[in-house]
Amino acid sequence: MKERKACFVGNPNVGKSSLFNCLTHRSEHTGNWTGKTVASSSGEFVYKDTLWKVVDLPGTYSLHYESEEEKVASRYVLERDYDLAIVVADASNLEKSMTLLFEVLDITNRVILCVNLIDEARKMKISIHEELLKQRIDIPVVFMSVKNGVGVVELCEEMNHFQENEVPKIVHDSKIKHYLEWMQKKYSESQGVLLHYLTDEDFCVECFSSKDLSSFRFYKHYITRYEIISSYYHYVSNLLQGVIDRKNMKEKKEDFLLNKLFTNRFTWFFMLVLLLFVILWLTIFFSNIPSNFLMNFFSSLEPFLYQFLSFLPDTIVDPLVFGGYRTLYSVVSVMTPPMLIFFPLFSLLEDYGVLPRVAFLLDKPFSRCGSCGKQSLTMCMGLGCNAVGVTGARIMENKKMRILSILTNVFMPCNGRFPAMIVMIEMFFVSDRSLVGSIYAAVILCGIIMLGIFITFLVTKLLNHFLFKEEKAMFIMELPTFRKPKILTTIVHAIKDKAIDVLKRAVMISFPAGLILFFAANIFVSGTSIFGWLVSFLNPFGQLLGVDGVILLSFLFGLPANEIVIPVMLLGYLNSGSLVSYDSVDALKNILVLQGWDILVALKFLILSLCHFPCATTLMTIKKETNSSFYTILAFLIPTVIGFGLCFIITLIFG
Amino acid sequence: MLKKCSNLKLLEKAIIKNVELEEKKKFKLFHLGVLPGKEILCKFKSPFGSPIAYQVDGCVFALRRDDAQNIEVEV
Repeated sequence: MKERKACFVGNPNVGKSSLFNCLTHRSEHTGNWTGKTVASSSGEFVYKDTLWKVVDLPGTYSLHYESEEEKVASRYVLERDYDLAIVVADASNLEKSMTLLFEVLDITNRVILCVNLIDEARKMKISIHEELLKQRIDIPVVFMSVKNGVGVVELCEEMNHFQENEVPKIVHDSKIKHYLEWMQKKYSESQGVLLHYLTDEDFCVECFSSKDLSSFRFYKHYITRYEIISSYYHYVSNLLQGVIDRKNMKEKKEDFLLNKLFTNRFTWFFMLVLLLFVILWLTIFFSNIPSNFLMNFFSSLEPFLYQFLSFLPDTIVDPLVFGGYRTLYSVVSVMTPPMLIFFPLFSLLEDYGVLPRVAFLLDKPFSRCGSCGKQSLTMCMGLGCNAVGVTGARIMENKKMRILSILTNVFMPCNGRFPAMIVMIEMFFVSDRSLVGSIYAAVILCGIIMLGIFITFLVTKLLNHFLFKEEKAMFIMELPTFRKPKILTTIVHAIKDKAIDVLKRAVMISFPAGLILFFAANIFVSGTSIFGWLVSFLNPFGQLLGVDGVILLSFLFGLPANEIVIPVMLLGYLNSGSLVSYDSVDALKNILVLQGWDILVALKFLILSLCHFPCATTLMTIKKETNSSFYTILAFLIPTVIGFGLCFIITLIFG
Repeated sequence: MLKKCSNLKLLEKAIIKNVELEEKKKFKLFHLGVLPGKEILCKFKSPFGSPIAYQVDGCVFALRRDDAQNIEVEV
């Protein structure tokens, strides 16, 4: 079997990831917004006699890059360590993709063009003269709609039978042509590489000694990046004459309606809150029953497990069953149902294209704080997982906005935290378990998240004031059309990748954490368990905040994963040396009430859940992304100080 | 008649004449198709007045009012 390499290059949001998934049967997550793929991913597939190793590069508008994520794509194409570069274009906006195509063609001849989303273009009544296009650009062209599986086989055929042909050279504007002629006398390189010497300082240094560098330093100042891309653009617009016909172009009805609703003076706020509310409510309402069911199921298994392991000595069985197993199942039963509902719902919205509208609406308030609307995108990612939100901050255009969104991401409660928040709300704020109750619960959770959003604004503004006075923010963003997602596939993918992933992490951490907890509660030093010592050490501090040592300790124990906060808390209260198995939310409430919990303590718990140090994974991601201990420490301190401060104030006021 | 892009009314069309912005923004807009000679349509506006969504070719994008002020168009 032959083994060959290919890479996907293309503008953001043209469906590279979808194509990649479709070919490799992988499930990199896709979404209808610019910058979804921030790092490249690789996979492989077999078609007939060839094994294809493919790389999905982050979306870029041009190889003459501006931002870090675009650099990845640029470098990969320049290194030419592939047999085929597949340029993916958007049929509804072909011009935009074409400059990139010719930038690639200027570097290598081994290119296939995929015109994706032809169904979209047809719907918008944009006609493309396919034959004319093929004739003009003279490389293999495949028209496809990945979503509907159209053109995928054709692409594979083209890939297997690809033969390298000499492609007509791009004719550049006169200034650039002059430079290229001059350079080509000295270096036998393709036009594209020669042009990259002008715009990519690092690349230049890698390729030349300083002596050679100085020989064309003059051109560096003479020709700007803008002129190079203009040159490509002029070439493309001549070439595409008569290929695309937009005379009958129509806006899709749903686009018109939704854009109206999102921007109308009276409905926009309603739309935003409704979105948030509906997602939260569905999550709460539908996770209640399965949660209790799982809890009952797992706790009923416990005696059997105990008996099954009874051949082992007690000193081993006890920690395994009462430590590890109990922690494990209480985490799993609390977390699983909300996640299985939240992730798919969120993915559907994401694929549909709602997130860019949210960014559009929130840009004004964010601009007041020195950031831009895109920060709301990273916040949305943070609702899934803060570590993902921190990585996602790469979509921000400059360092200032990136750091701002990284440092404030933790104020969005991630999936590890909000199941515990839901349980807390159900115990102390809403007494009835009916439909009405779940609506109340969703309203309260909405309120907590709004508080998080408010704090995000506040912190962003303050940080902007103290840390980055002079740097400017900017906001230029594409607003893609609404695309109906494939509902079933989206749901399956969301569950398979995201939910299972997060759950796996929870399981992997909660079992060993359960064991450690068991030992902490059962090893006694002068009459009190280690756990007890820690609690009494933290107690005075806790009292200052109106909570107690157990709550603080459980947040500390939750550093590796927030999911285990409630199990640790129970252990601390029950003092029984192991977690008491509780089989319903009400049983849990009784335990807490006996410890003197009331609505105020529950409120403080909610606030602390919202505002405390990020989990270890997030902190490590922040360190990696910012490459600075200062920002990592700041990310740890800011939410902690705010959370403690708020609790302290509440205690001062309400006693 | 020449005017600023930010002064376009809803659903008003115009031809782009001049883009006077810093390199970075100009660049970004360039890739979205904002170039002299192209037709631009004011698609919808944020309830706060900024940003504003414009359409060039098939591409809809958001731009802050302050930046749109520096784009000259002819109606």
